[in-house]
Amino acid sequence: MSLTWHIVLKDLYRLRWILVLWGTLMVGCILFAAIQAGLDTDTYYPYYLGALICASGLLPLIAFSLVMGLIHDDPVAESDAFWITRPISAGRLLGAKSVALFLLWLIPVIVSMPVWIHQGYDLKQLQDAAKQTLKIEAAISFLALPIAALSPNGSRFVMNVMLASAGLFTLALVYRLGGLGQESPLSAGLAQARYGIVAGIWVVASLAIAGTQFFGGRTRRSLVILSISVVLGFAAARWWPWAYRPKEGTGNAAAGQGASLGYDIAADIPCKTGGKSIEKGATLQVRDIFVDGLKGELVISLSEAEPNISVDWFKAFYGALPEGDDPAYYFLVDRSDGRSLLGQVTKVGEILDVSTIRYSHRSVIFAPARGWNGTPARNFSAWLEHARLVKVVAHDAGSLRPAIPPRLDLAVTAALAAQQSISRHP
Amino acid sequence: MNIIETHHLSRKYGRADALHGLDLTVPAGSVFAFIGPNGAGKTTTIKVLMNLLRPTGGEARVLGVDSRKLSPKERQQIGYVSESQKLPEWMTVEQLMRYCRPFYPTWDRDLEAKLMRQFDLPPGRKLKHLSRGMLMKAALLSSLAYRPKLLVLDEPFSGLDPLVRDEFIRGALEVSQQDEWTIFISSHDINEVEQLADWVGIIDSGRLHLAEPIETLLGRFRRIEVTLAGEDGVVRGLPDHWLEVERVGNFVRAIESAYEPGMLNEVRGSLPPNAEVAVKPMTLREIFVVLTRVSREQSKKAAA
Repeated sequence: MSLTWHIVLKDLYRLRWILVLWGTLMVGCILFAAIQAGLDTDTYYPYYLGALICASGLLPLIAFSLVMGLIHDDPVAESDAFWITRPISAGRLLGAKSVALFLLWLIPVIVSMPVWIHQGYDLKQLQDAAKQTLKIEAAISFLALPIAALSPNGSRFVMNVMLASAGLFTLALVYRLGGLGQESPLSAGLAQARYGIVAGIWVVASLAIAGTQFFGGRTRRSLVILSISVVLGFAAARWWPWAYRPKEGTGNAAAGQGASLGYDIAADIPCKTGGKSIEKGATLQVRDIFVDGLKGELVISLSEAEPNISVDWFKAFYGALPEGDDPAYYFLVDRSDGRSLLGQVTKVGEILDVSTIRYSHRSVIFAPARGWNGTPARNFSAWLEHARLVKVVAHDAGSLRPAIPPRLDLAVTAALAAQQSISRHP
Repeated sequence: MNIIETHHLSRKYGRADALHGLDLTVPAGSVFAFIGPNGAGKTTTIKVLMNLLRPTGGEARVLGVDSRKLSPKERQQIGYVSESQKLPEWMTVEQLMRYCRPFYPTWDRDLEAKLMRQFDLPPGRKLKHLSRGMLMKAALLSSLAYRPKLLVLDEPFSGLDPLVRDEFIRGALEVSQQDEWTIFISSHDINEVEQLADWVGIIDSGRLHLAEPIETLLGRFRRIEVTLAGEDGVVRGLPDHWLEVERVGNFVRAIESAYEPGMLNEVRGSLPPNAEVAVKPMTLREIFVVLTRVSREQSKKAAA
């Protein structure tokens, strides 16, 4: 066993209890998410809240602290550290810490893998989900790494995190007061470019600071690097003028050239309570069907779990992807008579993102008078016996959108999909 | 061969000079006591030697290598125990040994077991639950078990009770005498190091006053007392190089720093015939106090 692995194993042994806690919370979070997905909208909330606290609070916090624990077992900002006086080169130590860090990133992937497989992810989705998870863990690590490398111990780390948070808050305030709020929304290409540059500056700065600290503990030099990177990052976020333009022929080529619409049939199941679809890693379950005789409406309660892999959350965070529009459309189709009804989606429950899976509770209202082809069903209850619930996800082909395509365009695309679904099954 | 050499070594903290052009040589196989008052620059010197601090001027060589370029290969031959060293306190004594072993090809499991017994260290206890004395012994054990060529001890006795000090000294000496290691020990506890060392270096205010074998040092320093019996006159004709000359009436007390057996006759010859001259040997502690005091007086005069 090499000395590098010897150090890695020592670090993992040191962190074993916090790793167990982290893993347990991950499993707990996934379980809570699964439980809340199986409950109706009256009872899901406590489990949703538990999962949300774990996923958005505790797990990232522990991941952040783990980086500190990893670095501080052999502190690089401390001249009296044990390792410095032993035959351990800075390169070997940095290598060991990098390996240990990567192994930490793998833990969420390993814990989530059975869930992804159970969710029906295909190989490509598994790869993408793993990549997405690693990306998130890497982002947390790169945030914590420079602070951990600059702090000689845990209490200084906490203090420096608070200082950094206050500094970031001040920068954000300056950013806002500087007039960004009055500017028109950024184009997706520009936002992408600025995000990429800021993220790149931060990653380079993190690596440079870690390198400087490991290969000499030159804290003053590291602070200069940090200051320069903050100034550069702020300047890029505020004033970088050139938008990112993807190469022709890629999926992003649609950016700025109008919407290029497409669709996926995400579910096609009998309209019955308990009906379940597992398609391309997305599950949809009919929890309840209620016919409102007075209004002449049909209300279907659904719980869904979809892969949340392709959305670049960095971009979403940065504001490049406005949220609020849902490109999923629900139809009741009867393949025996060729008629279909478009449902009115009502988001009832909160959306929960756990382990690249997006959980949601929805109610969809079908009013026969508002059917897509305008012809109400004569005997609605009897018609439902043969009807199938079809979910169509309409989307634009490009992942970089200048704006969300008009809802009508998507709806028409979805409706066409529903009709094609009927014609494919005469 | 010298195991440690420094040439014009200096180190500044901000504008304050911690080391002023230190020229020090530590011969291989010696037990070198590096003594000085608090703040004299002992720990700074050791940190520079161990490459824990960078010098601002001059050069330090350890095992023939520039201290700034000490590689794991040299570190495998150096043991370092310091009062300020941070040990991985979450480990047990046994875990510390298990962690250290693979880094040293020369690690001696038998010696480890022997010292563990000798130091009465509990293998299963975490370092953070050990007393300060036990902790220092654990640190020493982890630095002795691979039989280093050079053992550097920075103020190892601070806060230790006499029993633990004795165990510590015996442990270090026993092993070092078997293998002819070099021990470089800094302390302001002169009585303790006097038992250990065969060489001594005295540092104050970042300046090295002397570095020589203790035997030579003790041999050349004498306290000289001159009394003019039955006379009220003033003693004259004393050598200029005597240190700390104290005159009280017909009694004079001074320190001779270059004493040789024959020189007493010369002194007697320059004194009145009825002068009585007594020569007394000095302890290392007395020599240290005299040198430090003289050095500070000279510094004050220079500053004035």
